[in-house]
Amino acid sequence: MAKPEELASTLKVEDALGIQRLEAANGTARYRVKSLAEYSHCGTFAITTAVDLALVRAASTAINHETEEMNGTVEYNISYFKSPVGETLVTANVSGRGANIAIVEVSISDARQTVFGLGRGTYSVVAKKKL
Amino acid sequence: MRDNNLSQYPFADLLGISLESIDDPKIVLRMERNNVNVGGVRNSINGGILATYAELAAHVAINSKILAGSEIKQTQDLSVAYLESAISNFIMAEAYIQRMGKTATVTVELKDEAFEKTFCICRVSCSVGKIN
Repeated sequence: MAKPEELASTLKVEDALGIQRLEAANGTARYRVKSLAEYSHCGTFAITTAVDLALVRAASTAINHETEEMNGTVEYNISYFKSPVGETLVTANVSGRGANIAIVEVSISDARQTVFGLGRGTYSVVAKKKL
Repeated sequence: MRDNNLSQYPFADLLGISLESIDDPKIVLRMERNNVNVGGVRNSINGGILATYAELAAHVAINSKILAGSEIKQTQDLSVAYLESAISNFIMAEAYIQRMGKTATVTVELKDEAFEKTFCICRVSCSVGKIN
């Protein structure tokens, strides 16, 4: 699991964009993006942030916090094949781990779990320096 | 030019984003570090917020050139590569339209206020259609 201070640092971002964190464990993290009337004309903006939050959080559950440190997202992409309507669920799964990276696949679905977008990201992990 | 301010993006204020200039073919936005957008590693601007910022810059760029009677339907593809932690006080977004049509493609670079350091390189494609 991510350390509490790492997760707490994103709280204001989530509040600002109507993003709610759900569960995270064993390389999987889920976020809900509320359907806010004031954002209805720009439906993907909050999802874009939620995808990064989810992939970071999923990666944080797949590293050894005794020996490794989170080092930032390297890159990610999202493709939408339908317009998002209503509440959105973003699910990130770590699909591969290397010595210095975690590969995370992301699916974006509506409340009925119909997938309308897919993404993939790479997260950087570094070994903790020994004192 | 349909969009000469950010009033249609209600969260832009919250995230500290303002429109700096629109000089065809380049659109420049500015984001000031604040307690909402910080949250990345090494006290940097949150990576998700940077991607949303790039997406917004792309929408502003497309709206600056879009024909009357047309609108952005949705973002189709977005990709972002993070080169360095965004730790400056202001993050500038330089957006260039690469293609306008039913699909509009924009490249966006996020830089420090001196335009010396590039934090992110992004590409955003949006579908464009007639207003219903």
